[in-house]
Amino acid sequence: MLTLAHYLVLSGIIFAIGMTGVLVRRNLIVMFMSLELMLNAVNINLAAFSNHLQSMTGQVFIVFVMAVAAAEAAVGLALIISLFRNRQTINADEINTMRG
Amino acid sequence: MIFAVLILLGPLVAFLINGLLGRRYIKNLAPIVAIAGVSVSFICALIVFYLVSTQGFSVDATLYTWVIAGKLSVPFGILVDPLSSIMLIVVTTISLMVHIYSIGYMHGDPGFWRFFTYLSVFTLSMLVLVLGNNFLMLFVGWELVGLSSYLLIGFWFHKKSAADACKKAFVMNRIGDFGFYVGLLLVIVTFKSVNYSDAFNAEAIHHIKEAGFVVFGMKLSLIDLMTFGLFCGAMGKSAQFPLHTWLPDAMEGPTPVSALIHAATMVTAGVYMVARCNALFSEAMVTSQFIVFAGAMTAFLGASIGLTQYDLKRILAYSTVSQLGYMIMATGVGAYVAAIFHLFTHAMFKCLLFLCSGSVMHAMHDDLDVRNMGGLKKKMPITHWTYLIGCIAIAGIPPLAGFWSKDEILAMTFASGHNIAWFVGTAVAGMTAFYMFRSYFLVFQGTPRNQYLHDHAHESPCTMAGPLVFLAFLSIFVGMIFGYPLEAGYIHTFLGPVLTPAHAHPHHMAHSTATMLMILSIGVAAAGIFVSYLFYVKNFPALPEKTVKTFKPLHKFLLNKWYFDELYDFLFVHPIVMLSNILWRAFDVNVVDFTVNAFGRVPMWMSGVVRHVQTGRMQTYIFTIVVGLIVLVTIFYTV
Amino acid sequence: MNAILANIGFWVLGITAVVSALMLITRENPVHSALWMLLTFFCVAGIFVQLDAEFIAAIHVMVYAGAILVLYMFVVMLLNPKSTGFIKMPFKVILGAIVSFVIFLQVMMTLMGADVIKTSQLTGISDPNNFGNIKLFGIELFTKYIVPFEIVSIMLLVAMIGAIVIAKKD
Repeated sequence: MLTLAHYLVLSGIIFAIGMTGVLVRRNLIVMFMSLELMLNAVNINLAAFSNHLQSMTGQVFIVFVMAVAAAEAAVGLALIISLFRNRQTINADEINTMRG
Repeated sequence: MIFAVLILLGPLVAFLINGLLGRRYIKNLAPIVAIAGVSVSFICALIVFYLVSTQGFSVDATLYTWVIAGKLSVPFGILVDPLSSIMLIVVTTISLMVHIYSIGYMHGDPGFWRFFTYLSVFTLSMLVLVLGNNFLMLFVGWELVGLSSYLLIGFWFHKKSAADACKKAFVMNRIGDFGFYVGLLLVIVTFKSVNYSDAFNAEAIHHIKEAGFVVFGMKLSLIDLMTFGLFCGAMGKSAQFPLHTWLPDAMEGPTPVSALIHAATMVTAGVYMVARCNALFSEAMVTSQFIVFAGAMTAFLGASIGLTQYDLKRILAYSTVSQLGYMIMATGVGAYVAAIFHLFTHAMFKCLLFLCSGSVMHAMHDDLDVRNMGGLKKKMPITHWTYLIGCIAIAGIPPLAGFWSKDEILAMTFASGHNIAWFVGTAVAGMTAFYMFRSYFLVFQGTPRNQYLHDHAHESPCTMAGPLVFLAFLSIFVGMIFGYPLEAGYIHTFLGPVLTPAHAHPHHMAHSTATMLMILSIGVAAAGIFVSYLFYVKNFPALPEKTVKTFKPLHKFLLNKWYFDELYDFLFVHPIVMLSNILWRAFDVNVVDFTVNAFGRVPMWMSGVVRHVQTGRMQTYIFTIVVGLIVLVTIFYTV
Repeated sequence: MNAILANIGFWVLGITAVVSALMLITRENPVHSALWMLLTFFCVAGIFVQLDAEFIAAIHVMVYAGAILVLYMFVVMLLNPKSTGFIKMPFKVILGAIVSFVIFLQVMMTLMGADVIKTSQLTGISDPNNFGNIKLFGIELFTKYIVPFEIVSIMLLVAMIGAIVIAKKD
C-alpha cells in the first residue's frame, strides 16, 4: 500500500539530487535546472500533504511555487545572458570578481 | 546707552552683511556697507562724546550675563566714561577715514569685499576692547584685534613676506599675551570678579597692598606681579622692547591697514589698557620702573633705527614704535592723561603720515624706497602739504598737535624725577624731527632720482586725498583745542577724574622750569629739522655719504635694526628648529609613526588571513549555507 | 487491482524520476540535461496525478515542459556555452554529494520520527462528480488566497519587466 512516506522519501531523494547538482556543476544553466528539480521536490511534498490532510491549500501553494519558479527562471536566465555578454563565460567558478 | 550699543552694532552688521554676502552679491559695493556701518559708529561716538563732555554722562551697565561660574559672573557690559569716549572718537574717526581712503587705494583688488569685511571686524573688535566694562571683554577685544591684525597683515597672503609677517605678528603677540593671561588670572583670583569697578576699588586695592612674594630674590608685591603680567600683554600689542620686532614687518599689509591698525588704533591698545588699569599700575612701584625703562628704551630704539631706514613705510613704522615708547613711558611715570593725549594726537598725525605714504606708494607704482623718490612736491601737491603738516606735527613744533602732547610727556617725566628717561625722551624728540624731515626732504624735495617713476607719478583720487586733508586739519588743531594751556588744557579737565588715581603723587614744578623745558624741546626739534635740512637739501648727497662712511659700523648696526631679528633667530628659532628636527627624526618617525602604522598593519595582516574565506565563488557560499543548515538541524535534534 | 496498479505506477514513475534527475546533473552537454529534465517533469506530473492533483499535473506540464524548459533550451542555444562538466575540484564534488546526502538523511530521520507519516493511507481528495477537485481548488484559490494570488501576478509582471531590463543590450 502506498503511504505518505513513499512520496516524502521520493521528494527527499529528488531534492538531494537537485542540491548536489547545484553544488557540483560548473554551468550556471545546469545549476538553474537543478534548482528547478529542488522546487519540484517541494511540490511533490506539498501535493502529498494536500492529499493526506484532505485540504486544497497545498495545491494552491504549488501554483504559487510554480509562479515563483517561472519568475526565477525568467530573471535568472536574463542575468545569465547579461553575464555572458559581459564576461563571455557562464562557468560558476570563473565568476569570482568578489574574491577577497 | 542706546548710542553706546549702536556704536557696536554698526560695524557688526556691516561685517555680517559683507562677510556673508560679500563674495557673491555685494562685491564692489562692499565699501558702501562698511562705511555705512562705521559712520553709524562715528556719529554715535560723537554724540556720546558730546554727552560725556557736557553732561557728565556715563554708563556702566550689563547688557547680558555671559557666564556664571560659581561666584564668578562674566557680564557683557559696556562702560562709557571720559576715557572710553575719547578712545571711541579716535577709533571711529580713524576708522572712517581709512575706510574712505581704502575705496581709492584698494580699488581693483580681487579681495575688495574681503578687505572691507576685515576692516569691519577690526573696528568692531577695537570698539569691544574700548567699550567693555570688565577684564574679560577687554581680553576678548584684545584677541579679536590681534586676529584682525593677523588677517589684514596677511591680506596679500600669496606674498611670502606678507604671510611670514602675519605669522610673526601673531607669535610675538602670543608671547606678550601669555603674560596678559597670567595677569588677568591674578586679577580675577585676587578680586574675585572681572569687573573694572570691583578691581579699581580703592578699598579693595588697599586691602591687598601688603600682599607680596619673593621672586628671584626680589620682593614683589601682588600688585606688581599682576600689573607686570598685564604689561607683558601691552608690550606685545604696543610693540615695546623686546617684543617690538613684529610691527615693522607688519608693514607688509596694505597701507590703509598700517595706518589704521599698526599706527593709530590697535597698537595703542596697550597704552589704553595701562591707562584703564591706572588704579593698579600707580600702586605698582617695581612695574612702573620697568615700564619707564621699557618705554624709554623703545623710544630710543625706534628712533635710532628710523634714522637709517630707506623704506618709507618702515621709517614710519619705527617712528610709531618710538612714539609708542613715549606713551608707555608716560604711563610709567604716572602721566596717564599725557599718555592718552599723545595717543590721541599721534593717532591723527601718524594715520595722516601713513595715508600719505600710501598715496606716494600709489603714485610710485608700489615702490617704497626713498632713494628712488625726490621732487614729488610739484606732482602731488595735496600729499606734499599734508605730509609736511604731519611731519611738523610729529616733530613737535607748536602749535601743531604733536607739540602739546609730547611736551607734556617730557615735562611730566622730568617732574617725576626720571631724569635719564627725560633725557632720552628729549634726544628722541630731536631724532624724530631729524628722520621725519629726512623722509620728507628725500621724497618731496630735491630732484627726482628715478626719472621714469617720477614721470608717471600723479596725485591720488579724491577718495584718498579727502581723508588726507581732513586728518591734516585735525593734526593742526586738536592739539591746541585740547592741550592749551600746557599742563592744564581741556584734556586734563576731561580725563582728570578717571585718570587720576586716588593715591597719585602729583608732581608740580615751577612755572619757569616748565617754560624752560618747553623751549628746550622746541629747540631740539628745530635743531633736528635744521640738521636734516643740512644733510638732505643743502649738502645732499655728499654729507650723508660722508657721515655713513665715518660711522660705518654704527650705520650698519642701525640699518640692520640692532640685529634683533638675527638675535631672536639665534636664541629661539634655531634651537627650537634643531630640537624639532631631533624629535622629528628620533621620536616622531620611530615611535609615533611606528605606533600609528602598527594600527594599520595589524588589521591588514589579520584581514589577509581572514579574507580567504571570501572566495568569490557562489558554490562555496551555497555550500556554507547548506552546512549551516545541517548544523542547525542537528542542534534542533540534539537539544 | 487499483491499488496494485497505483503501486506499480508509483514505483515506475518514482524510479524514472530519480534516474532522469541523476542523468540531468551528470550530463556534460546542457542540451542533454534539458532533455532529461523534461523526462523528470513528466514523471513528476504523473506523481501529481496519483496524488489527486490533476489540475496541478496539467499546469505542471504546461508551465515547466512547455514554457520554462523551452526558455532553458533557448538560452542554451543562444549562448552555446563550451562544454562544462563538474567544478574543477574533485574534492569539492565529493564534498557536495556528501552534504546533500546528509541533508537527505536528516529528512529521513524526521520522517522516521513521526508514526503518522508511516501509517497514513492516502485516501484521496477527488470528487468524481465534479471533475476531480478542480472546483474545490478554484474556490480555495479565488476566495481564501485571492490576495496572495494577485500579489503573485504582480510579482510575475515585475519579473517580466526585470528580465527585459536586465537582458536587453544597453
